[in-house]
Amino acid sequence: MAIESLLLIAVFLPLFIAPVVGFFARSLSLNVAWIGIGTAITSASLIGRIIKLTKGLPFVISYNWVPAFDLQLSFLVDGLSLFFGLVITCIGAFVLFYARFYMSLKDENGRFFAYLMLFMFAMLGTVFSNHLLLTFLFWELTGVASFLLIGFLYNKPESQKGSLMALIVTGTTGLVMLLGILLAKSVFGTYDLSLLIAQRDSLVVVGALPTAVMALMLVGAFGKSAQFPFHFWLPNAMAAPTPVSSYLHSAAMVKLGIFLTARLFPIFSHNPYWGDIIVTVGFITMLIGAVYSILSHDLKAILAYTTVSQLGFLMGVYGLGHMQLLEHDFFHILNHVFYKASLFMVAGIVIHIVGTKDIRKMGGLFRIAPFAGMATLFACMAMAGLPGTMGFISKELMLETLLHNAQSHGGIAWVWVGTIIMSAICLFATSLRFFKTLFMGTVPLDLKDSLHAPGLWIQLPPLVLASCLIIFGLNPELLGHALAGLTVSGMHAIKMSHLALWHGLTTPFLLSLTISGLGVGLYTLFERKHWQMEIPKQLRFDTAFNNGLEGLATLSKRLHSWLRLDQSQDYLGIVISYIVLMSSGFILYYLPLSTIRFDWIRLEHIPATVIGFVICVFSIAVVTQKKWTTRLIALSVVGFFISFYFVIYRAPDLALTQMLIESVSLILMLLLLSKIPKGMAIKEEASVYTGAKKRVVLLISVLSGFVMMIVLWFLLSDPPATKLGDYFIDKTNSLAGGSNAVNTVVVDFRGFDTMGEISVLVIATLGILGLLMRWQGPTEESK
Amino acid sequence: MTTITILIVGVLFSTSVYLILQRNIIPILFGFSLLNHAANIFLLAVSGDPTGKKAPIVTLLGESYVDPLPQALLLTAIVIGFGVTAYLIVLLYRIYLSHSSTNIEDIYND
Repeated sequence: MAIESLLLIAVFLPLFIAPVVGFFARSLSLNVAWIGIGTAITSASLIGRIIKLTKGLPFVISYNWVPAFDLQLSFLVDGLSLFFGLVITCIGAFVLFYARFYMSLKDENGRFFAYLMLFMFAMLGTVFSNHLLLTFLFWELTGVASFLLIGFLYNKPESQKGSLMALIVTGTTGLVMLLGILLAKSVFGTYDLSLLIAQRDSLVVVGALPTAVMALMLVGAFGKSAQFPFHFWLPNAMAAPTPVSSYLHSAAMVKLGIFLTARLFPIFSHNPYWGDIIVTVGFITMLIGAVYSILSHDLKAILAYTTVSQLGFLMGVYGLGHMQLLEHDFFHILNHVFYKASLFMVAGIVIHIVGTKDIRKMGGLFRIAPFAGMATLFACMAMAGLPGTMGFISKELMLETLLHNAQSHGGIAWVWVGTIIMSAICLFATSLRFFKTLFMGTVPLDLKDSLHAPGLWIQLPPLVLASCLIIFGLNPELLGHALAGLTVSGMHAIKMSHLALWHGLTTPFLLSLTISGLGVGLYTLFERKHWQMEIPKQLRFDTAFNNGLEGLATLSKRLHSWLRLDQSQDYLGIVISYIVLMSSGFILYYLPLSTIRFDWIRLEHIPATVIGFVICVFSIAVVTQKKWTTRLIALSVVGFFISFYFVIYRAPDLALTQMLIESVSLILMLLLLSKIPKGMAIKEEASVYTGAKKRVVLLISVLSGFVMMIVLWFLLSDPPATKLGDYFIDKTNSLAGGSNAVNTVVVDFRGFDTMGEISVLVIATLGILGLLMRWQGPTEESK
Repeated sequence: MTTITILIVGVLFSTSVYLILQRNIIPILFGFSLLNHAANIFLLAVSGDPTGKKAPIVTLLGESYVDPLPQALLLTAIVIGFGVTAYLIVLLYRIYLSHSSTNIEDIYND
């Protein structure tokens, strides 16, 4: 198959599988996960095939989508996107496998696995998209999918809070990124990433505007990757089911910010602020995450903060690279993916066993879950950076780069060396604590009875992932060789230094020894204090964020209650007076004085005048009379006299219809009023307006009558030269075969109108029936 | 002739708006009915001054008849207006049964 079709299938397969998974969940229950696993493996193998076919050379696939917006369905296949595509699909397969045994039958599994597939699609779309707008679309789609997944247990308050926080933070920073993208179009003239990367040498990236583009897009990356000051959403997102945490919040989604930074690296790394911004933000995040991780006691929160820390580290990799080209950035990413995904899976298993999230209440679980224990041992070794793991090599490489930088640049670079050493010490202590507290020692007394061993299968994915850390840690060249095929020109050094297990007795190694010693010291110190320290309240950004949200809600509530009126009648008055004001303004402005005609009342108008007088007097009586019966009679008189007025207008059909309908209306109203007892009249008195309010209502009604008079007056002063009616008069005999033009219009010329009229009557009848029948319903039930 | 029609339309609109803005469902119903009449007469007035014209029953072409189109539209409007009024009456009846009050404030506060 051609690369085009391979890629399209690899990317879009999860999207099409998502509804399938949702549909079959009813019959297949949890086994529906196998469909998802199959999809993930298919996509992964297709991506593997593409790697073989392209041999690491960039390849662009483009289709027009919305040419008016300059939007193309354009995909860029190169080392970076292929690497991330592989990570997403492979880890996805592991997570789905884990979720198959993690989720229970009671959960809505169809929804869960469908969301996961949707998320996988959004991730693949983001990493492969070549068009910046397309990147943004997929980027926000990952945010939406993550919102759905974090809020999967939607009736738990922390899920609601966490999902909303994640959505707001990543969504808002995503919008900032969109600003950057739009600005990039006007600065560089294209949305096309491959073009931008190809032209990177001739592109002017220095100056105010390009720097703004870079900064805005980096804000998006920082938000997604939970970098300081947006780091607080990630620990709150831990309300999600653990497979989600393991996938989205360690391996996949939070890596998108890293991905975007890597994507932009060839374009912007020549900008003088590139390194400073990223390294500062990244290393502050790294330190904060590491310190907070040791101060947390919730199992998943600890992992979340170590993730934050490691994400800061990965950001830093790209910030430091600007002085030379990048080396081994994929190695760092893979190290984190392996150990963090497996640790999250273990955390899910452990929380399931002991039924609590507080790490201080756990212990001695090795005998119950030996494979999870092994996985944790490997993963914690990697997190602590002990020799023989990928974590060790990753840390050594970073220290070496930093030391090299510090020696050549001095100054602030030494601060970064200090930062990474401090973070490494904290992470070492956290790793030690994580493994020791969970799996060593004795089982706490209150847990002893409730423990039950987890199944074998659920322990498999973390063990496999964690074993990779050791395998590639002992044979780094194995991985280095594979990753060498995924280099991106302009980003990676052409010839990478060799990865080796043992670099000799170098400064980084000595530093590593120091870190281990100090880490053990820190652990002992905290152990003696029984882990009673908490993250200081003032430094918890999430509470500040929530307070801000609540403040906004209070503000809008106050504004609403200030603007709100309690009764619809008051709204109606406002609406009517608004119409009156608007139309009178319009009339005053366009007053066609020249055409206005006044039609004096003459002798032959006497019948019309009498009838009109009666209508006016009795309609005023409807307003002024006190008793309902008198009012009703007045209303009837108005109705019947209007039918006389129709006679004067030479409209016999109208007069007849009006008579008929007036009689029926009168009967209906009498029926209604007969139900209302006389005593209600007293209550009615209370609802009559008095004082200023009465005058206001009076003014509004008189003005609206006046406006209607003026409108009609203008309308009649300037009648059109030809009327449609003349045609009907002409043709009523010849075309419709009837002499009464009104009748032929109703049934022949405008028959569809009549049909509509009949439908309205039917609908009104049905509505009336419904109203009356529903009233009888409850009384029968209550019998 | 048109002057009288204009005056009737003005009075009918004023009284109906006044009634509709009341706080009791019965005056609102009456106001709605009057508003119906007001709109009908407004529409009919558009056919022009009927003085010296014949009803649109065509026996001899060339004579002066009133415009049949507004009348036809009005015929529809009267019937639809009745349908809506009937619905409103029953709706108010139901509201009264549920709340045993005709006062809108009471109905809201229930």
